[in-house]
Amino acid sequence: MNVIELENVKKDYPLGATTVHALRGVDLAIREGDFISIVGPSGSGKTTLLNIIGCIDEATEGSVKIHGNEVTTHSDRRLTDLRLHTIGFIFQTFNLIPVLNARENVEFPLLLMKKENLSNKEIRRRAEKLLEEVGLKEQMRQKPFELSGGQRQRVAIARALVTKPAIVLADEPTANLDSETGEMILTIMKELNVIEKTTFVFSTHDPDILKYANGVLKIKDGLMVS
Amino acid sequence: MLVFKIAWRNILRHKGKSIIIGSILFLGALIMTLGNATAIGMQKGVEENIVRGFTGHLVLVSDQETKDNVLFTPMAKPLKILRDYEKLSAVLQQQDYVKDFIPMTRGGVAILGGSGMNFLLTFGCNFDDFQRVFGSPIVAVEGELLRNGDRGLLINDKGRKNLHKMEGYWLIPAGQELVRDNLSQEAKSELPGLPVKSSLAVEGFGEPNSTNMTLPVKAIMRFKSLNNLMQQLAIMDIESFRQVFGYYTAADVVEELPPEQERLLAAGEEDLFGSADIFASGSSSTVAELEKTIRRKAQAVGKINYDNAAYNYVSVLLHPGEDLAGAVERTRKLMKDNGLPVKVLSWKQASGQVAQISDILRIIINVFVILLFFVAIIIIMNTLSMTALERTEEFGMMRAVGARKGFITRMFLAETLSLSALFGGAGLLVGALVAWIIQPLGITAGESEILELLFGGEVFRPTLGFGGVALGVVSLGVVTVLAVLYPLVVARRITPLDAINRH
Repeated sequence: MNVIELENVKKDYPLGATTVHALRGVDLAIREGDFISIVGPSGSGKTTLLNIIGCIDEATEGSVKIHGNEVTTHSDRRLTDLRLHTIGFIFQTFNLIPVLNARENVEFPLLLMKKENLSNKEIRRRAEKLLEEVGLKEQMRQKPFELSGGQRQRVAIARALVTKPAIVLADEPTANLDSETGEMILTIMKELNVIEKTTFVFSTHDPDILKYANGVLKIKDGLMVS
Repeated sequence: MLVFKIAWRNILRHKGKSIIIGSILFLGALIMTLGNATAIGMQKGVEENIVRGFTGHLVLVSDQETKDNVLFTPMAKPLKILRDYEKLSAVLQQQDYVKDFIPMTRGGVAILGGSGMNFLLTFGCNFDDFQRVFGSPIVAVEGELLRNGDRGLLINDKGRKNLHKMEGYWLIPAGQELVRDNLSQEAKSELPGLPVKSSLAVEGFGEPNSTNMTLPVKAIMRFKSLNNLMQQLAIMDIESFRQVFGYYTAADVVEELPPEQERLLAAGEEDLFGSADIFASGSSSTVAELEKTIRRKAQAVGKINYDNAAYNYVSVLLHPGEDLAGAVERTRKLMKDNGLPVKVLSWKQASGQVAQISDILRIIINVFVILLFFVAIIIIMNTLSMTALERTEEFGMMRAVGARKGFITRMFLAETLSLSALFGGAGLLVGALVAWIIQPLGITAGESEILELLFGGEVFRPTLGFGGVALGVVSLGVVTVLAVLYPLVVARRITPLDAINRH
């Protein structure tokens, strides 16, 4: 079953008097449990593609389906709920909530999920478990400004995984990590992929992490080339 | 809980901005609280000194009166006679919301002799009743106040000084010595040749039946409060007032006839043309003369259609806590139901400019406070909008991981409302404390008539009851909500993509 389907997706950005064609008609189908890597040079449209799949950006043209549902017509509220319950997003250099410590940042999406009826104790247990898995047991109470770039990225990864989303999108997830930590993160992701059947789509420049992927999509100038 | 946790930590994180916004809220709340205390203090001052000291809450006049401003009009046009006073009195006595009432007359009297240009706005009443109903608002500076049906005038001490400037003589109460300490500087400079008078020849102004008479000055008086405002007011005993303005019916004339003339009137035809000795010895009156006198008087007063006693208006005092507007409506209905030809006015309507000036000054204060709030709203709005834009990454990231716009709204509101509660609340408390400290000390108006009017008395005491505090809290809430509306729109518009692009 395809969890992600894109059909003739185009994305144009106005840039001064001209228009940038970031995506020129992308067709894509990703099945449940896939571990897909998107590769391509800078400016090829990797981030734009992930943003559109992650319901963070809107396609100028074309169809985007998540679990078979067309999302281009969804309201802002439905898209937000979709991001909360179905999609985990790991940003390249995206910040954490500065006033919350590492554990509270990971707890944040769970606290937004009121209908899950999770107890505060369960929320804390899940957050702490994930932080332990990404090697931040000792830094749980530290605020983002007290963490290194790599540690922040690991907190962001734990936050993306804590809701056990069906799809995890990651934009250069290991770009700010040393190779050892990067390996560790990818191992966690792979485990989740295997055990929970979580679908992973990530962009990367790092050829070393391609070995984890069971599929590689190449993008160039806004078009899928393979 | 999560919202407040983030809100409080953000307040502490952005200390500089929090202090700027907080300071504005603090100052705004402080000034607003003091403004409220001032306005309420003024209202109370007016209530105690004007309403409870002279006008009453309600003023009942004849329904023939076309204008509402009946009490303090300069060059006072005579008021219509209030008809059916006896019935009106009986009706008012039965009302549980009426604490007390007093019938009064009001008119302008011209002071005869001298320049002939001076008038006194004169109120006629049974002075014992007046002092009882209004809690003795008038005190004697020289002489003795009217008592037990005394005839005469009470002249205001400030009015006496004005009269001296205009007419050149110094009034002292009849039978009293000149009190040098009370003389004005100008009067002192004229000693020892200062002309002194103890009576005034006056004539009712504007009534066709008015007459002139010379009345003794019984006392130089002053109002305990608002004396500057009341300086042109004089009090006259009710009987003299009626005579001066010609408020007499044929019946009244008959009542005043000498005994032999009364016998003439009472005599039947048989007595008149029979043998009965109805003429007392020495009487110079004839039936023809008597009838002529009565006819003339009756014709003269015939236009004044009143039924019993002659009054121009009735001042009605309400029990404390009674709603003025409600009482006006109730009384109007009462008058209508009882067929009484009475127009019911609130004291503000009846006092005209006196109440209006006081209202205008209060409005100026309120406008000042509103302007201050407007400026505060603009500054807070601007600061919060900048804060929202600076936090694009934070808000965008929250939205990206699944926070709805409602969450951003609640978080932003929680921050602003917390600041408002903390700093604005402190402003309210300090304002209330300042009002509480000043209240017993009071601020004197000195010689300033404007301040006296503004204060509603000679001493101003800012007052802040529960209502004032509640008003302050509500105003603070309104300011906060208005100030946060636009920044909230800015914050809600931030998308995850904005955050990514910003980065």
